[in-house]
Amino acid sequence: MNRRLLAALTGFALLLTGCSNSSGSDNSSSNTITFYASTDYKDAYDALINDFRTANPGVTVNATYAKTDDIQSTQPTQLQSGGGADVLSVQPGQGGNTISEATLAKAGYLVDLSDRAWASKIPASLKSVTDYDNKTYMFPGVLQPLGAFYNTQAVQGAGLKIPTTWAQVLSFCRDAQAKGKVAFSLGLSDTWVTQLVPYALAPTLVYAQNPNWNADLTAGKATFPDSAWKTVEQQYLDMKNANCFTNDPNGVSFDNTLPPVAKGQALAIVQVGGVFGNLQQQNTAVTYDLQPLPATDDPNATAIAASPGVGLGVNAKSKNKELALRFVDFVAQDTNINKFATTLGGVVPAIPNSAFTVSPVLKTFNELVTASKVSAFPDTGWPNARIQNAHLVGIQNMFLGKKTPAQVLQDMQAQVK
Amino acid sequence: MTGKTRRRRAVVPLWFLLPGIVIYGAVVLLPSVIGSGYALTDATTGDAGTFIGLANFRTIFSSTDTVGPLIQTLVMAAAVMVLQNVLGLLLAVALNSRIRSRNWLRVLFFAPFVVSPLVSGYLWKYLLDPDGAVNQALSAIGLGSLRQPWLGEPRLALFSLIVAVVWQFTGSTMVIYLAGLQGVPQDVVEAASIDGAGAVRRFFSVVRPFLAPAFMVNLTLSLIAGLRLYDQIVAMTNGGPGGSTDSLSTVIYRTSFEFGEFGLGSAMAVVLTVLVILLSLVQYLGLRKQARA
Amino acid sequence: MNRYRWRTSLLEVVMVLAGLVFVSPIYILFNVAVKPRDDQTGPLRPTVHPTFSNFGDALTGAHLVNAVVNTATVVVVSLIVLIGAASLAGYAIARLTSTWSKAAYLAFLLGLLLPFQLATVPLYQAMRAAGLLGSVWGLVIFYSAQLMPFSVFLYVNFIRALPTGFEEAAQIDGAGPVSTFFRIVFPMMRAVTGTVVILNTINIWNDFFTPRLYLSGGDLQTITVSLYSYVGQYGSDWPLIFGGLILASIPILVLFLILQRYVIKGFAGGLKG
Repeated sequence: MNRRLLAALTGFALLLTGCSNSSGSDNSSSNTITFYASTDYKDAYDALINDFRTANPGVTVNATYAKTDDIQSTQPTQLQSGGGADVLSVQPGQGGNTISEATLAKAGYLVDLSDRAWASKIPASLKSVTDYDNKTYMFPGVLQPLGAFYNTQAVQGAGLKIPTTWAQVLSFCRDAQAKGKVAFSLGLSDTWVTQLVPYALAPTLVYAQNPNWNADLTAGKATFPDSAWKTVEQQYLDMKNANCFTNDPNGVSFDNTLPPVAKGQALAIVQVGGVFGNLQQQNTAVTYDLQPLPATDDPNATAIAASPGVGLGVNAKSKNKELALRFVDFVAQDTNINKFATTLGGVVPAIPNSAFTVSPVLKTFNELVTASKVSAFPDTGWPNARIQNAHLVGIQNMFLGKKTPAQVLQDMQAQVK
Repeated sequence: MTGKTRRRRAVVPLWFLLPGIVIYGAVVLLPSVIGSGYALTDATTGDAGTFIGLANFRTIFSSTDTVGPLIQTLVMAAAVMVLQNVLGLLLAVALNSRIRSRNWLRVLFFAPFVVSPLVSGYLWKYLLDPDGAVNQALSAIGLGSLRQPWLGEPRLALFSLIVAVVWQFTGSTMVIYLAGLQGVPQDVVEAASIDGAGAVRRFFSVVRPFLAPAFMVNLTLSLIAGLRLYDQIVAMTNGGPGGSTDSLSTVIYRTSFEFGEFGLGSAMAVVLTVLVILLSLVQYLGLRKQARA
Repeated sequence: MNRYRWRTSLLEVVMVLAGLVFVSPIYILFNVAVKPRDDQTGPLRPTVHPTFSNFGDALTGAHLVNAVVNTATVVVVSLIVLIGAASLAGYAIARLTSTWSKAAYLAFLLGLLLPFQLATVPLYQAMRAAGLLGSVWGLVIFYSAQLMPFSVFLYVNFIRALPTGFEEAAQIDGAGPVSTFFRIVFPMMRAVTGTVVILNTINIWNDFFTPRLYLSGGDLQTITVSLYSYVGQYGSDWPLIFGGLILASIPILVLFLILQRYVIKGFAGGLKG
């Protein structure tokens, strides 16, 4: 034991002093692959991995799960040093974070997947977040909506109706308050939650007007302060001033935003589809309805935000690309991705197929997707991670009264380089 | 303690140092030096970067994104150091008495130290929620008017964070003071009390000199820990609201591992290192002068 | 001092109350962990029908048994390396007066001050090149080095307070430096070794960042990693999390109860110097 340790240490010291040979030696036999995935998908992937093993006797998929935040911080470090799992977690987008598709593809970490059978079926609306330089580098997995989950019973119990115009949103908040209810449960203590309401408003206000707004931003043809984003942030503030949200949302953590909705103390919550399973679990007696958040007074103009969650990519340095590709193709098969989406709940396959049964909660969402009234989460098209961070911090400050919507947008613009 | 006559000293070979120095040098020192090298580059995820001189340091000292956290780091470190030592010393003096429950209480006060910083951070976040245990307890004892959004307002959040850190580490500070107090000869203390010295005077003139090493250890360790605060912040506020509880460590982590800007992140780490070394050196020299005076 | 008895009992009452306030967060941790899912009472009220199913669920769901074995292996091997190397180095630094030993001590003290962020990327690259990622050995090497400065610091302070007479006598009797160290010096340092054991165990047991970085992408998990990868972003179930956290802390608490008198003695020895 000590000898091995000593040998390792000696080798280690040698390597550090520069005698490093960069031939990776990750132990990989031909029928084992490693896979690094988000905890949110654990149950769903575990089931698929099981099926994959049954279909391919003798192969092993070693999956490690971590929170998406953790993957964002660890996976790049691993790749930077030439390591990393064979099958990687990749987020859609043009550089919004350290594991977004364009960031990884640009650095040469990903295998070009354009020739896979499923790649040609990716809807045009998603190409901008799954492709880099006109080549596909990720399998998008499932499409996750972002909208308001209404507790149907609680809304009826309060004698209210789900709003379909911006004016109705504000009166919905007033009426809910009169009944002693919170209209929209909100907690800003976990920063990722802060951006959800603007992301729900932006599809109607920004991207329905100009689907290429993000490209214009990167090209310097559009800026945050001089665009419809001003209306987005102003309406967020208007909702706050109309007492739409939980009291003192800055101190409330994400965990504590769901129980009020499940118990009917709050009527709705603006969230991503991924939380649906959790909401359902907290109170199985409640039914939910996912609706877009209206942003104008024309109900037909309302669009919804939806993005692929964390998708899959293949490590360019993988010692076992063939098997890694076979695994990704397996997940992409209709029956498998449908099973995956059903296990998760609250999501639909990103590449549509006729065999998938949409749950009643997602009925409206599915209609909007079919009508192309959908746009990706805004940050997936932003050129770097700092913009989103400025947004998150800015919103907390806006709720503290320390920044105006215009200042928040200026801070964001300052990070566009 | 040394022998009466000057004897031949025991032989201690220099190579005894070797195993420790080799492991530590190869795994900590050398990579740190290499890491400092990144500070002079614009390295990012997937790009080794090019040499850009001191540009990163100019960015650090001119940007409000880093100056704010720098000041917050100093405030947190100072508050944690002072509170932890005052409380730790008081507890140690009280538990060095003849009370019957002293052994139990020592374990009780030390217990939070055993919990990981991350866990204690999550626990406090849970307790400090607007509908959480702290506010519920305030209502239950009729102090409902004191209910606060503990983590939702910049100053309160900073305060709550400091409380959580002090809660966790006071026990270990106490143990070190307790160890120091047990080195104080009882007969000296009793002689002073027979001479009519009150408890407070007895403490400052008789006991305090014996505690000098304990002060040194405690103040140094708590200062370093305060300046490097990271886990608790991540778990409780992640720097929020609005960046008001960001420390240098959280900003370094975000810059290097979330924005992928290794060069700038390493430069920040160099600044933190220099800060820690300078402040603890100043403190050390100050305390040594005090101890000799 | 007997005439102050009423004062002593007043102090006793005050301290017990302070102690209760101090552990109340831990009480809540336990109370929430034994609360059944359908119990909607607040975290303060004692749970009427405690359930231990949260512990069982956490145990199986997070594969805790496996994780405890892995973590314990890392702890034990790291401690062997740490105690061996740090006690030797500490002894040399405390007894030698040469420039080399002073320089070595300064280098170790520097290690107390270095922020971990500085070395992370280069170290990770070296670990990968050496094929140590995803293995217990990578972690052992990391902790042995990372915790070396503090361990050396403790040993130096303790040994400086030890009388030199026994060592000198042993060497006059013809014992070499190695056997002097192992037969005479090392046994005298039992107290500080206890301190080194408990403090380093707590550090390694609770560390999260390092195993998260070095083990991801493999199937080896430590306690913190398996607990946190069990808790998803969208599904934080407090009773379950708290149950897991308690289970993960129990071994440490037990170790502390066994070693607590050493901890105080270990510090005390070092402080006399």
